[in-house]
Amino acid sequence: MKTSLTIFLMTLMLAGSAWANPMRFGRTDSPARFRVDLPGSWARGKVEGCFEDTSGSRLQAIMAENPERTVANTFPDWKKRFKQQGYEVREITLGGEPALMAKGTDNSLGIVLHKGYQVTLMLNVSNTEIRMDELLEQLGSTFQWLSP
Amino acid sequence: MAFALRLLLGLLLFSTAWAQPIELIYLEGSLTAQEEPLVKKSLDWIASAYEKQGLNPTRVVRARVFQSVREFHSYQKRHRSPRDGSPLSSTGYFSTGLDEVVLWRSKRFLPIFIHEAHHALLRSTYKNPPKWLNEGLSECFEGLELGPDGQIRLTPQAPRMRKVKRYFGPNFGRQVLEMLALSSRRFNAKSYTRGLDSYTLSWALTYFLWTGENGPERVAAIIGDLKLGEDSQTAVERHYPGGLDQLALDLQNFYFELTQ
Repeated sequence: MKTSLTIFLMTLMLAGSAWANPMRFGRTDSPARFRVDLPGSWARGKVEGCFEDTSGSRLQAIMAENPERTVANTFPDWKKRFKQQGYEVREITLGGEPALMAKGTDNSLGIVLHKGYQVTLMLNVSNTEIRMDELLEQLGSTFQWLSP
Repeated sequence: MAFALRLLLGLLLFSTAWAQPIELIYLEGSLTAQEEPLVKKSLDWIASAYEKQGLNPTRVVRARVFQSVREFHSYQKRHRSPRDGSPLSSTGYFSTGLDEVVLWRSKRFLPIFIHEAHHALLRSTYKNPPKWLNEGLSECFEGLELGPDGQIRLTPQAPRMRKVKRYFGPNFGRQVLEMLALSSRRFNAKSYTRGLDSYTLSWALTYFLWTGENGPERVAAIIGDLKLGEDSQTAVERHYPGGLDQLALDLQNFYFELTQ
């Protein structure tokens, strides 16, 4: 009797959490006229403005208006700065835009420019079974710009 | 009768609040009439914060203020012999042996005064704090400033913040936590590092801890464990929800946002 009641309560709790978070798609709020979307396993995180995937990894994007910045006048210095600090810098494509990601132990820091905005990205990996390279590939293949 | 009681209570509260103002004893030179109230208010803010957490710092600070760097260096050479590899200071120091703050009127004179005076306050209640805590908190309180409302508030210290902004990277949170394991000698050696030196990283840790949720309580709890002989990593791990891994992640996210 006690066991069946526990199972019933657990089922109720799971159903409740699924109802409370029915979407598995996250969107950042942005001062820009576009949004970032990460379909797949990424969902809006517990931390405001972050995405989290089911394995515990977290992506945060901060957008700032900066129309003067171009790939030519920004990326070489950015790349040099992080390489000098000993990080491996990877060039990836995010939603069709070239991006740089500096790889750390359990975090990566990135930059991408889009429609006059500089988007700084940070990827946290809290699950030790996930490899950063795989996660960056996943990020590259799922990242989308959403126009209003 | 009720009025008399209220008056008595008011006087009692007033006298308690002002029972032990910060006293500055000048052994050489002095602060100006404009400088002294600000410094006293800042030190009172620090002392009160510690007292609220059950710590009992001194409220008497002895200071030696030199007008020139030449006089300062000359005095330092005659009276200071650091045994932990600390270099001779170019701006100011706190002498535990002589219980005095010694400094000269350099470019950042007032924040340095507060920094060194904080060593006097902390060491009066905790004799041998680890470097990350002692220097980190002193750096942290260099960010005290007078707000437009006349109240003291803690802001990110500008020179340290500039460094964090310049050198912030994906391993920042982990780099900060490395400070917990450094001996005094290694801490001093890392203070010369170009980029994220030990003072900057310790500032980042203590500023985050102090300004976070229940910050002063958490710092006091860590101090309590350290006083009992616990090592820094264990003490911080115990008092940070989620432990050191979570702290590294939270530091990473906090400074990521602060540096943008």
